[in-house]
Amino acid sequence: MATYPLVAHDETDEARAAGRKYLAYTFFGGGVLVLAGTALVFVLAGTTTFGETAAGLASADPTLARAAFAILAAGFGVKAALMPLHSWLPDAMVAPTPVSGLLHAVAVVKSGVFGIARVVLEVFEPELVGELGVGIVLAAVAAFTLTAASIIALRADRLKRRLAYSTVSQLSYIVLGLGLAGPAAVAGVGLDTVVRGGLLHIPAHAFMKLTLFFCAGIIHVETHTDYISEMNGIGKRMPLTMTAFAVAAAGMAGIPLVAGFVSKWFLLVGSVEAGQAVFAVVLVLSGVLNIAYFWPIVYGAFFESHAATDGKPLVEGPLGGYLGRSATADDSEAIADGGEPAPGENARDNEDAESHDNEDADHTHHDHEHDDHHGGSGPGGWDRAGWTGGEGSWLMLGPILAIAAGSIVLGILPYEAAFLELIELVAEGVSA
Amino acid sequence: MVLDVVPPATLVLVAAALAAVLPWRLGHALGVAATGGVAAMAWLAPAGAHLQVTLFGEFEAILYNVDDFSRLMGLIFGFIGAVAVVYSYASDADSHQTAFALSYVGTSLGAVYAGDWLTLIFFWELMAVTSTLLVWHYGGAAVRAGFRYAVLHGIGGSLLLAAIVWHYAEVGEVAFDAYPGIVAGVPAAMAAVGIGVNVGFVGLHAWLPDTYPRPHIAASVFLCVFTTKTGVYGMFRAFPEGHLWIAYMGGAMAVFGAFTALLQSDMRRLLSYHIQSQVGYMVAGVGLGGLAIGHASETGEYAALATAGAFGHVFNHILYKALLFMTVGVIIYRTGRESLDNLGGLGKHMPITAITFGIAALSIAGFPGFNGFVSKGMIIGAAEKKHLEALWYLLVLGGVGTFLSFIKLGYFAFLEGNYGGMVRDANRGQSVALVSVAGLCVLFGVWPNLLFELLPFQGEYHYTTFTGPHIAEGVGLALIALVAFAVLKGPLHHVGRVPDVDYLYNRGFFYGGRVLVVGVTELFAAVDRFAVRLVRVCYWVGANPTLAVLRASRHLPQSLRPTWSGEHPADGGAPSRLYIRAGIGTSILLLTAVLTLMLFLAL
Repeated sequence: MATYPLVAHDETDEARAAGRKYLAYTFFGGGVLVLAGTALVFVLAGTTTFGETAAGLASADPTLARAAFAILAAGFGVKAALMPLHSWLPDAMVAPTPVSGLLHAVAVVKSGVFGIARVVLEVFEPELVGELGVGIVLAAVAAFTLTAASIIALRADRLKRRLAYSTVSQLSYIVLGLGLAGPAAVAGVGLDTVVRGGLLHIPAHAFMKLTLFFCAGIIHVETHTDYISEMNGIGKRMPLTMTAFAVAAAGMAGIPLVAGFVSKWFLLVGSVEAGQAVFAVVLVLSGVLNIAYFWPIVYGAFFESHAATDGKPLVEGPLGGYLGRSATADDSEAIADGGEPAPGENARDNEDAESHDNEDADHTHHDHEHDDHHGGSGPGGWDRAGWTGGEGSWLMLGPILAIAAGSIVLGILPYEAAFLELIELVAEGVSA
Repeated sequence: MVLDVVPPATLVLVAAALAAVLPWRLGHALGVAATGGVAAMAWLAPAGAHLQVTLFGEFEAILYNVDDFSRLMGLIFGFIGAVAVVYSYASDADSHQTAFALSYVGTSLGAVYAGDWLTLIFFWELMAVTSTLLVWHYGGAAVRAGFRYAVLHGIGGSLLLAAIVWHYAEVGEVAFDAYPGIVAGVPAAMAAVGIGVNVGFVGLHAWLPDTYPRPHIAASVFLCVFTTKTGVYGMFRAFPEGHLWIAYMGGAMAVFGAFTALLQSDMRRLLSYHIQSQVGYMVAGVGLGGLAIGHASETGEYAALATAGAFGHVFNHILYKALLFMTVGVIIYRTGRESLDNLGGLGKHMPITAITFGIAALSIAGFPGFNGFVSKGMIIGAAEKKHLEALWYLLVLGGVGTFLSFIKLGYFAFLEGNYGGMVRDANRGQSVALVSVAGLCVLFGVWPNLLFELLPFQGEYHYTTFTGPHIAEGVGLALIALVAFAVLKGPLHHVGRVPDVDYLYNRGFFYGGRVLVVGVTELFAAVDRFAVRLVRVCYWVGANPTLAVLRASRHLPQSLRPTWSGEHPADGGAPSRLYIRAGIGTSILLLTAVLTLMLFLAL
């Protein structure tokens, strides 16, 4: 309830629609299901105290116990944006960026994941989750979500929307780890590792995604640019911001030095140890998809310019890009002056694509918003802002750089940065 | 002592960071000092595991491990890094490019000095990132090629990561010395393919000719050294006992690369295919490096010979391949032309470039008296001694192709025709780089014992470089190639662009990916529309219950339809109250249906 006004804050039709959707999903969907699940657990186990329900649930009718797990997981899964219950999340990105950071990176979605962690680790406990066979189902849903969301993210041209789908995908890393706790507990190995990987991804994702959202925010505030296709060459205008973005984007793909590598490593090790190597394959594939949808933003920002741009791979432009095409046609002059796409035309195509998966938000408004939206570099290309913070207020840059640095610290010294140590306590409690 | 504590990688990475901000001249000087320092450190650092840390709270990692293999790699990486920085300086590379290049060198050093798999994959993936940045830095068409490179190396790195994870799950330790190589079975297969991307297995190689011709000429010099050779090193760590399939894959690479190179006109593209071909020899050497592979002598000396040959070839190849990219870079630097179709007669104008090119070409082709002859001979010799005739033929055939394509490159660039207009030779800095490396190619070719002292397994094998058959083999291959070139000269010129496997898989990825992305997004949009419509309908039903019943009832038989009292609202909306009546028969039917349903549910 408290976050509804934040989502609908802009008071536009799109924001209201997103707010209604948000409320419908999380309140009626999530809240009611969680309450129902809790009631069912109470009926089956006679208590709702964490850590004491598992014994009662183990002796209850397995079908009902499974139903209770399913209801609880679905209830929390709304907030954890498990597909197909994720649809509120990409729409809620109409909220102002700091709120999006809160919604998508930290508070709301993580509360859903936290709920699932409670359910798996303390209400049912991994052993029972494994014996009932529900852990593997949860993991399968998470695996599906993290792949499908990455594929959808490839097409989203609005930066915040791409980040939102990335969130959907990354949250499922955590859920995957928790789901695998069941099979791992039954197999007797890897429980510790999957729990560690899953839970460590909570802070890891928070640091990385908060960096990305804050970057999207400062880009919007400083340049009014919301669309990736308008961001070519923006590294000139916002070098520090885009560097932080690049670091976080690399972390999302599980590149070492950044937090994402550590949690992915633990998850991979755990899933293989638990004898569920197929989930390791999904995780690895997701890393490659992350490269595919984040890195074009990075290279576009730093290594292309407003005038010489190629369009982003897969969804727009010809095979190999415009520049690659002219280079092969004329070998001796690698930097061809021809083949420059009309940026305006490009952007227009993307908006069409964009509106497809945004159909439910008010269409009329969507069009209207584009008319008065003045993003991009302008005809003269981006100004050069330099590396000393000329790109925006330090009140925005400071937090961005601090969080990006945090994600690196967490990537190199996760244990010393307290999080992994805390998680070990959790894991010990679980295995005990 | 400082040599035990500071990993060489840090030195270069710090230099990279400084080179980005310091003035151009100073930054390059620092780069030369750092890489040269690494070479010196490699020479002096004592063997052993120096920097053991606990990563992520529980993994016993060795960040800085020195043994014969990593020492050799560090030595040559450091030396060639220094030369390449000098060359960058002379070829007007800007500070940022050299900074990226140094970070690439640094991460490669991190990988070869790793003492465990976790550290190796850590730097392996970073190496993919830094090399991508180096390619991207050039802009233009290099950006998209760099992205293809990044995705392919992302896939390769992920496979290796998966292999390592699986290995760890089986072995319980990440250190190299905990277990020889990667655990056999699925992990070994994944490791072979993952590393195979880096070394350019046939079919996985297309990134080489796609990426390396595109960036700055100095960037190409860096690129041609580190990724593939770190790959060979990784292959050895993963398969210290060799594997027959890997050996044959090496043979296939040697032949495929050499003969595809023959069809190229773009000079750097031609050289890129030769990376694949030469790395094929190394991969063959690594594959042969086990007692169980082929015929084994009682002392195991053939296996040692193969592995030492592989690493000797790594060392030599880095020298002559960097030299080749540097000479070709000078041509591009001076003429601005990339293709052999537009060049010719440069020998008169560019004597230093032509002579150093000649030395490099004779080295790569394995002509007696040049360094390639020594190490290639060791690998071919090992294949012969192990009685693997098919492999031996492949490797020899690859040699013919190599001779042929370098005769082609040299002939069309330096000898044939005339270059209209003036063109100057390599500038002073470039000449320093060219001549110093060319000197080493000759030095190690004439006194192979200098090389043997650097190689692993010293004294565990016997190999005499200059024997009658060896020399006859080297000269014979050259003669065959000369004759063949005289015959094929016409057809080999102006071949045009020859498609490779990436012609197929780029299209597959691109259009397949597009179909997948559009399909998935449209499907989810449809699901979302359906969900939203459902919710709207529910809202509407909640707001207009009678109207909803009325509309639904149109589908019912006449006898079940509700009726309503006469007072219709004036606005044409729904009546406020409905009367639902049914006859006795219908009522009983409904009742029975409900009871049956409940019975089923209860059961």
